[in-house]
Amino acid sequence: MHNRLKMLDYNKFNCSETAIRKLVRDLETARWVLYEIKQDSETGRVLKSIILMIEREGGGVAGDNGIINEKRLISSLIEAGFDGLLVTDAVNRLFGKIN
Amino acid sequence: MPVFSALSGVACTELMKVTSNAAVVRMTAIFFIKRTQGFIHSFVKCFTEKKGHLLYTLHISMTYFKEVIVRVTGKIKCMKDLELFEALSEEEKQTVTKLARGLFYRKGDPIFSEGDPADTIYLVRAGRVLLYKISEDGKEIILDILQEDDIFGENTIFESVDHTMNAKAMEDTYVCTCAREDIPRLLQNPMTSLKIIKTLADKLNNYTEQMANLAFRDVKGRVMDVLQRLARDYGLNTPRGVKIDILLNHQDLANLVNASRVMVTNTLNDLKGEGRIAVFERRFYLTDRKATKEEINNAQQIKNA
Repeated sequence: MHNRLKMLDYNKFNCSETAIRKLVRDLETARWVLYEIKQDSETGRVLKSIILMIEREGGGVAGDNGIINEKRLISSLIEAGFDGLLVTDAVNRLFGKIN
Repeated sequence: MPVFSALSGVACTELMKVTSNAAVVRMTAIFFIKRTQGFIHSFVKCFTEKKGHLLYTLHISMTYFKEVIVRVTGKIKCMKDLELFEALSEEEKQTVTKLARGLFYRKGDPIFSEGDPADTIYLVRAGRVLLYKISEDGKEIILDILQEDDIFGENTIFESVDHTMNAKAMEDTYVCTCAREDIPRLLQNPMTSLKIIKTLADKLNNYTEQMANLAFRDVKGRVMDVLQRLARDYGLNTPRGVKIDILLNHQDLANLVNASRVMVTNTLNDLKGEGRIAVFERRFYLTDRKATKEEINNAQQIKNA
């Protein structure tokens, strides 16, 4: 019984560690988005457009399951006139592919 | 007189004045806290040491109070009283206390700067902390304002990294710090871990809300949103309306809503004209009580959901 409890505790610790890691990463990303939007940089404008697209044209960039299709999102942003490299970097960072 | 040397700033000056005016060489000081209408006030009472006559009662800030207690007793009890650790047993709290180090910052003091190696997690015990970045054109971009029980420097929890932003004390501030290598011990208790998860998740929700506002709302909407958010965190009910008990000038507000100072000043004048806000003794008040209550409740419901 004691060992089982220990294992339960260990699992809880592992779960919370994973959750905290994910939250810490998301917080860093959120602060980056806020910083870029607030300083009105080109990346900030890309990020603002992403928020608008997801909110207003969700159907356009989201798949049937509601998950954002990154390729479609990148294409839409490039079509809107943004620089391809900048858009790719922003989308990759936003979706956690790079730090 | 260790008590007096432990005091600093205004409180110290005031006490020294008392000492010389009263022409006493030695005094005894008693530090105490009083709760009035839900607010905690901290005081120091000074007595003549020989006859025990009361010389002076001085209202001091909670930050000074804690500083004095820590310095006089030589003990740092900052961590164990935090809401974050309320689920811990007494024994666990003692362990946590041993891991903590209390630090004081005067208003305007930097806590850390972008690029500094990050190896410490901070918990705000008293005061307020500003998180910000400097933009390429030298503008201060405010990312967050933190208050008691908030955590920052959390990106150091698992990895050795550099700070990605700056932090400074907005007012006299007392923080508890914990070194990165001790953090796993803090996370051993599942209830503490859950509380940390909740604190971080609330913060993330707050940022998401800010992002949406920046993308969708005009300046007036953003100003009202920021004031309501601040009212939620720092609001006090007064006969005048909900008082936002934090010192903010128009430039600070402009940095928070991402608009020019002139634009924010004009917007604030509009809002004052509409009777939605008021300014008294350099504090903002939300005067449209019904709307404020509803909006704060809505925000609270979203937060709780």
